[in-house]
This record gives sequence, C-alpha cells and structure tokens, in this order.
Amino acid sequence: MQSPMPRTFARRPALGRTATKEALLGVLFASPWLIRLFVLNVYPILAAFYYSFTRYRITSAPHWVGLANYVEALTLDKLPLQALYNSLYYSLFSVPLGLALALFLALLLNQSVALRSFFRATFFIPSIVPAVASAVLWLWILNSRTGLINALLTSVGLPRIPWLSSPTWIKPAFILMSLWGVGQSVVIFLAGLQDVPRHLYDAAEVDGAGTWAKFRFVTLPMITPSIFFNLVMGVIGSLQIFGPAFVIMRGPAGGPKNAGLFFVLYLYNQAFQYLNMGYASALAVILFVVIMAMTALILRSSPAWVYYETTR
Amino acid sequence: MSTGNRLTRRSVLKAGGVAVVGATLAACGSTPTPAPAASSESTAPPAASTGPTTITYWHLWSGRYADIQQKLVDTFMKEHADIKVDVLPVPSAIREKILTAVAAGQPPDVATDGDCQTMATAGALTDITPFVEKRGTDLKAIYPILLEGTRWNGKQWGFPANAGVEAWYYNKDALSKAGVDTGSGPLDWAGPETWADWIELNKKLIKLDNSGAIVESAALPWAVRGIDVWFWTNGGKAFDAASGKVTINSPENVEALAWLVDYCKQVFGSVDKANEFQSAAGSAADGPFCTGTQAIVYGGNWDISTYHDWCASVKFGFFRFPKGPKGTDRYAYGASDWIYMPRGAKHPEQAYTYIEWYVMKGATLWNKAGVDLTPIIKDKGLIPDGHVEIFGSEELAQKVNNWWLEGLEHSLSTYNFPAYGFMENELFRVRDLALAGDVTPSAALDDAQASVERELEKTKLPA
Repeated sequence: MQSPMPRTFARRPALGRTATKEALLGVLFASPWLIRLFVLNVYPILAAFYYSFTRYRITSAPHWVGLANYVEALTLDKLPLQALYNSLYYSLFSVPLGLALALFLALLLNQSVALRSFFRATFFIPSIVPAVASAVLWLWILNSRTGLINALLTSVGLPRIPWLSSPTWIKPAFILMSLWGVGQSVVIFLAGLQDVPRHLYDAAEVDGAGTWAKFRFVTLPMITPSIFFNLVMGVIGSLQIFGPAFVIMRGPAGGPKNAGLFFVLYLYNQAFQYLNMGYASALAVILFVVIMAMTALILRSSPAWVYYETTR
Repeated sequence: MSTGNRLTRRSVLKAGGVAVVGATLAACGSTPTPAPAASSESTAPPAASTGPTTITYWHLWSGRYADIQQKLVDTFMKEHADIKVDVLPVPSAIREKILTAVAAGQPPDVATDGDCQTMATAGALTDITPFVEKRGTDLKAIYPILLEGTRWNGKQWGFPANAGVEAWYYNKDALSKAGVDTGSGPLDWAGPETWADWIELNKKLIKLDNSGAIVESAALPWAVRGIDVWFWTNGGKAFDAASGKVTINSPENVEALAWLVDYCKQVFGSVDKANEFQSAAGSAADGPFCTGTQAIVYGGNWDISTYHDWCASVKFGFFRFPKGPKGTDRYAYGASDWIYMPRGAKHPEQAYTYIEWYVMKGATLWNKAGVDLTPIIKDKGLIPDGHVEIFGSEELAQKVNNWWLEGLEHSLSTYNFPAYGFMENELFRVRDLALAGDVTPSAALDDAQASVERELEKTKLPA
C-alpha cells in the first residue's frame, strides 16, 4: 500500500473564491506601495549594481568596463579609502556617544519632575530642525574666533580650538554636532524605559539593590532591544552623513587635507561634479557592503547582549 | 428593480484599481525621450505656430542677480515679440537638475552653469557651431580666453554668460601702517613685482598676540580660485590645450608650489595657523579687510561695490599676481559662468536667438546694472553704474574699469580642459598635503598628475 504523502508535500488546498478575491483585493490596495517599492527602491538598487560596472555619464549610454571602477576605487584613487576612514571614524565615536547621551537624557526625562513634557519636547526639537538650518547654526557655534564653544573655553582659560580649519578637529566637530540631534533616540529609550515592569524594581529593592544596581541589573538589560535598535539605525545613518557636511564645508570640498570628506560627499562629487555616475555607483555598492557587514556584525552579536523578555 | 446602472462594490473597486494602476503607469510612463543623437538634427525649425514660441531658461542666480536676469529677459522679449522666455531660477544644484532633465528628454532650451566643458564631454549639450556659422555670430568680439573655455573637439558648446577678473585688493591705511606708501589712487601702486617682493611685503603685515595667535594677517596666496594661476606666474600651466597633455608636474609648477610652501613657512610658520585665522575671520564690515586686520585679500572686480557697501571709508586699490623666476607676465585670473543649450532643447532656433542676444547685448546691460561683472565682449567704453560715485570722477572710474578689463588679456584660460572641475579639486587636495608638509611639492604634483590623467581618459571613452 502506498504510504501517505508527507504532510509537508501535501498540496495546499485551493483558495476559495472569496479568499482569492480577498487576496487580489489585498494586492490591489497594497499596489501603490508595491509599485513605489519596485520603482523607487528595488529598480534603482539593481540599476546601481549594473552601472557600477560601467562608465556612465548620465546623458549617454553606459559603457561596460567590468571591474575597472572597483579597481580604481580600491587601489588607484586615494580618496575613497580616506573618505571611508572619515565616515567610520565619525560613526565609531558619534554613535556610542550619542547612545550614551540619549540614554542619560531619557533617564532624566523619565523622572517625575515638574514640566516633564516641556523638557521632553525641548530635547526632541533639535532632531526635527532641518539639517541645513542646524548646520548653519553650528557654523556659528564652532567659529574658532567668535563661536559660542570657544567663548566658553577661553572664559575658563582654555585655548581656542580651530574646529573647522584644522584636519585634527573637523571630525570631532561633526561628532559634537551629531549629539545635538539625539532627540529621536531619547524618545525610543523613553518608550523602552516605560516598558520595564515595575515589579522587577520592587523585587530588586527587596533584595537590597541601590540606584546603580537597579540601573545596571534591571534597567539596562530590559532596554537592550532599544539600545540595539538605536545602535543599528545610528550606524546606518552615521555612515551616510551628507547634509551637515555639505553645508559646513560650503560645498562638496572636504576641508583641510580632506579630513571632512565623508564617503557620501565624495560619492556625490563623483556623480554630480565630475559626472562619473558609474564610478559613483561602484562607491555606493562599496558603502552598501560596508554597512551590510557592520549591520550583520551587530545582528550576529545581538543574541549575546540583547534581552527579549518574551524569548527567554 | 433593475440593477443595471447601480454602483456596486465590485464596480467601484474595479474602477479604483484601474485608476490607481493607470495613474501610476502614467506617472512612470514618461519614458525618457531619446535625446537627439546629433546636434545638427536639433537645428530643424520648430512647427509653425500662431503665437510667440515659448522657450525655457534656467539660470543659477538668486537675489539681486536673479532680478537682473528677469530684467534682461524682459528686455529681450520687448525686442523679440515672437519669443517668450519662461525663467526658472535654480540657484542650487543646477547641474544635477539639467542633467536629469536632459536624461528625461525634457531639458530647458537655455541654461547657465559654472562648467561648460564637463557638460559638453558628458554629451549633455547641443553643439551650437551650425548656428554660429548660419547666423554669422561675431566670435572675435568675445575675449579669447573666455571663448576658449566653451570650445571642445573643434566645436562650440556655449558662450560665456558673464566675465569676472580676479586679482589682489589692498587696504591703503593698513599698508601705510606697515610703512608701505601706496599713493592716493587705486592704481597708484602696482604691488610686489616678484615672489621675493611678495614675501618681504607680507612679513611686514603679520602680527601675533602673546599666545601666538594671528591678530593681523598677511595674505594667503593659496586661498585663490585655482592654484594653477601660480603656475602661470612661473611660466607654467596645468594643461596644454595644443597637445592635449596634462602638465601639472612640470618643473615650473613644482617650483611654484614649493614657493607657496616656503612662503607659508616663512610668514605663518604653519598652515593651520593661517587657516584658523581665515576660517574665523568675519565678513562684511566686520571682516579682516574692512577692519584692516588683513591688508591684502584676493577678490574679483565685483568686490569694488561689495567693499564700498561694507566699508565706504576704507580706501583700497588692486594689483595683479607677482612674477616667479621664470615668469613673463603679471597675471590676473579670468573667470566666467556659461550659457548653453542643453541637448534635446525643443526650440533650438529661438534658444540660439536668446543666447546670442544675451552674449552680445544682455551681458553688457548686466554689467551696466552695477554688479561689476566685466562684459564678455570687448567694450572698454562701459563704466558700471555707481563707480563714478565710488571713485569720485568718471575719468578714474573709466581707468579702473579698463584696468580690470585688461586683466582678461593678462589671464590664461582655465576652462579649456575637459575635466576642469576635477583638476581644480585635485590641485587643492595636493596643495593641502604640500602645505602641511606631508609630501614634497614634487610628489604632490606627481600624484595630481596621475589622477588627472586618469580622469582625462574617462572623457575619451565612447559615448
């Protein structure tokens, strides 16, 4: 007697007429988004991969050059690696510092203090100020002679810092500037903090935990999903820094010794200043690979430090 | 009861679905119109119409300059009743927008931009040579160094839209304080004749405070629009148009860069100190030139009005670049924006009519409007509005205007290179490395030579 077909290979029952109709309707209603996804996301991504193997100047047909763009970017042209170093340096410092500051602010804003809503709104406002406006503001704040920060430094007897004119200080200036926009991370941390069950703190108190111990052994583990989310988004966003750099550098230049030439700024130069769209596409693919690798690294590490209450 | 004409849920959904898909396809369906393969094809006359033909004109200016553009267009339309010009100011990222429009087959008929050669080599422009020949446009009236920047592969790709001359401004009182007598008029002192004179003069101008910070600065000779002008002062150049060769690392150019490095060491000690002063310097009336804390600054002829507006009491004059040991002339730097017809322009005949009018007449009106840009055509009879008041007499204003115009005859063309923008950025990059002492001037220019040659090769690939 023939053995019954394993369940996994069993033919799925045909959808009924109503179910088919509903599925079609679902696709129909989702179609504007689906079309947008394919036209504005999937197609450009695939096209960028293709163009990265071509010499393409936008207004004429692409000319296949194989791996030449990648060879140039990784061996002949000195600027992509310098720009990548600048972006990684910026990301390495701005993301952890931003997370620490956002968490600190969220802890403060989570206290029962007067005008709590006002303070929450105040810390969030900078993150909705347009990038160009905030960059112009920071141009003034960072002015080495008349800027606010150097005025504070000199008032306590410290030397002025040439924030935007020295290759040493340009990247720290951008890192400092990035801390101004931690409002969104603060909101996510606040949501995470409010999800920490009260009974855990009660239990910790019964066990004699003080403020630091409660933070270290209750709060921090419970908000690791929020830290994880902010970390991933922070790394992806920081490696793509463009707007503030474009405004602060007053165009696509990279500042003294190209110390402020971030990767996307250089990509923009190649695409729209020199019209090397094929080469710029290769740079975009390289950045994509770097971001993917870093994101994968963080994802792989997450089981070791991210705690989901529902999964353990 | 008949249901024949009732709106059912199904019919509404069907109609909605068709509408959504239709609208989306329509939005995506502006299939890029293939741009005309050869520019000569686009010289065909447009279809006959009864009213005026409307052409679109995108320009890169804003504020006062944009107002002037509108006035020029209004004047043009009064003189050409058969052509209507729709003006669109695009003060930000105009090149990206023109390129996108060309690729989509919907370019403006006329546009202005800061770099004609890059656009021409990318195949984004219409070759206007047939129009020039057909209309008999008098190219000899245009300053040769400006015209040269709009020619490539033996073809004419546009015209200069304006012209500016850049040289050195000096503050008379600040120099007098340093013991330099510059006379009373703006042209009474010719400035340092040689590189050695330049160093000696600037050593007198720098003053430091107790902390070593600059309180009065010398000139920053590397802070110019393109450092290749210093190559010229020593008989060199970055690109030889005749042979088509990049000559960045020639001995004359290496000597020029080495001189800049030496000047920086002798006068400032370190480039960081100089850059700090420059980046922190204020602007307008609080800026170092108006306040006398920097006696010599780089500027264009349009800065006459600017400085007069900012600090009318400051007396100033101008001089050209000093000569190096192998130099033969005292150069100024001629600069320009460009006006051209993007590839695929819908009304090429009318577009050329506007371009030709703009170059031969419009730009002169612009010059008269008091923004100090020199005319593109050789006309020394002009005095920009307001200059008589600034200089106190028509004779002196005329003399000053002629001095700046002559700068176009003491300048080399900077735009006659297919990768002009790339080359300038590369020169700035290696300049920074050399000034910081990271590489020798010779190694810096070898590096730039290699990268610019590589970039030049890209422009030679088949379209």
